[in-house]
Amino acid sequence: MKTVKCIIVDDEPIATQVIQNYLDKLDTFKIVQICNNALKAFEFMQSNPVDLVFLDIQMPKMSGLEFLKALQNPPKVIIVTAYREYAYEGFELDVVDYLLKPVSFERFLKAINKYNSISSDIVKIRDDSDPVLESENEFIWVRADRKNVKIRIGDIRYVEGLKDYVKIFAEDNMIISKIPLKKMEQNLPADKFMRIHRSYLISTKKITAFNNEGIEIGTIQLPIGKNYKDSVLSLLEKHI
Amino acid sequence: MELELKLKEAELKLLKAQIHPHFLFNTLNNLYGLVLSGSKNAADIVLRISSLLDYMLYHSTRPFVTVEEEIQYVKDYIELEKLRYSDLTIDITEKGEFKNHRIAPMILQPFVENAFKHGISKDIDNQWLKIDIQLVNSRLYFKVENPKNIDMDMDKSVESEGIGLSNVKKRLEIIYSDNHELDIKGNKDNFTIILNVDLQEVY
Repeated sequence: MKTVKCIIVDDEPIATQVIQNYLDKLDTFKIVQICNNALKAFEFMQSNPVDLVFLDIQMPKMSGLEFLKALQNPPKVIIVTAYREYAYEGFELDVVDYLLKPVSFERFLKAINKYNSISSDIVKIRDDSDPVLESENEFIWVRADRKNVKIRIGDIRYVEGLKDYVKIFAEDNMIISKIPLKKMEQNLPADKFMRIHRSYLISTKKITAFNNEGIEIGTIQLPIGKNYKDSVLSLLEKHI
Repeated sequence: MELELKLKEAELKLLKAQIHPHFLFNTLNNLYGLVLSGSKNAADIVLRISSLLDYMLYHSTRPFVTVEEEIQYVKDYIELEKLRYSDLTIDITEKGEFKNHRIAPMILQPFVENAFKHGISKDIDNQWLKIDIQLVNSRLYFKVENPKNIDMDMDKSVESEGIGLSNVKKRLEIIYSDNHELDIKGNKDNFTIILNVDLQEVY
């Protein structure tokens, strides 16, 4: 998986350590720089790519919000502050999330999950033990046509793989996104989707008919691949 | 009667200005960080917060406290603020029998808070605080020095001195009208306040 390059911008050393401690628990997130003021972050970002900024508001010389306004092409930003009153302004500036100190790890993960949802790949952190995240799993975000598109998981009928791309057939539309089918499969709930063919991933609850050769979803007929036949059929038998 | 009303009014404002919520949340965040990392300092910080809250909620509602109590409050406040800085030099000089004299509560701390807010916190490369407290013949001498924020011109710093300082000035006028002198001055590097107050002895 692609590493997410993070910087922490906070003038308080202990506050920085907390975020650092949290990020260390996540394999794909790497801290590339810690800045104790916004100007240093500004300088660092001139010559280094950054994906995600953890930003405090109250800092010497330049506040987090001033810093954010000054950026031409801002990366994704998660605000971490003790100030309750700037949340509105923060969201006006398109921040991913607004965390209030002290931040619990659970709340932090929720912000990370938000980041993952809107960043280009549809990588989601799934923690089934965490009820907070459950409602978040109803949707996935995919990159399509230079936009991030939100799709309701319940609307997906089936997904067709085409080399590095997938066609997502939802209830009302079809979306093409650059992502391998295998990855798509990993990001959809395993108990609701089933791989029936090298090229097809289907939503089990959308099945309207099946036999040994294929599956029907409404008027669409899809073949069951040779290598998938045994597992698919035994799963389907269980459901009858 | 009018004086009493004024005092009451200022007291109400004082109550509001006593603690900034973000100071409390930042402090709790630092405490949280200390606990997460298993720092031994965490226990001491809990006691400091407790002592600070005790003073603010109970002691400061009395008209007068001992100078010792007021100074303890200032020290607790400084200890908690200190957590936010990695490279802060603090120099406190004390002289006198502080428990033998009384002072109106929350008179000294706003000056220290101001030093953090408008001086120390604005300049990361030059962080220091110098406090001199002397009690001689019932006269309290209180001096706070801190680096002057270079980005701020004089006009702005007066404007932004905030509710804390203007409120304490009002209270000094009401409680110690002819018995105090307050001198606030800044040169290009430092910002200094000197407060002289004639206090009452504890009987």
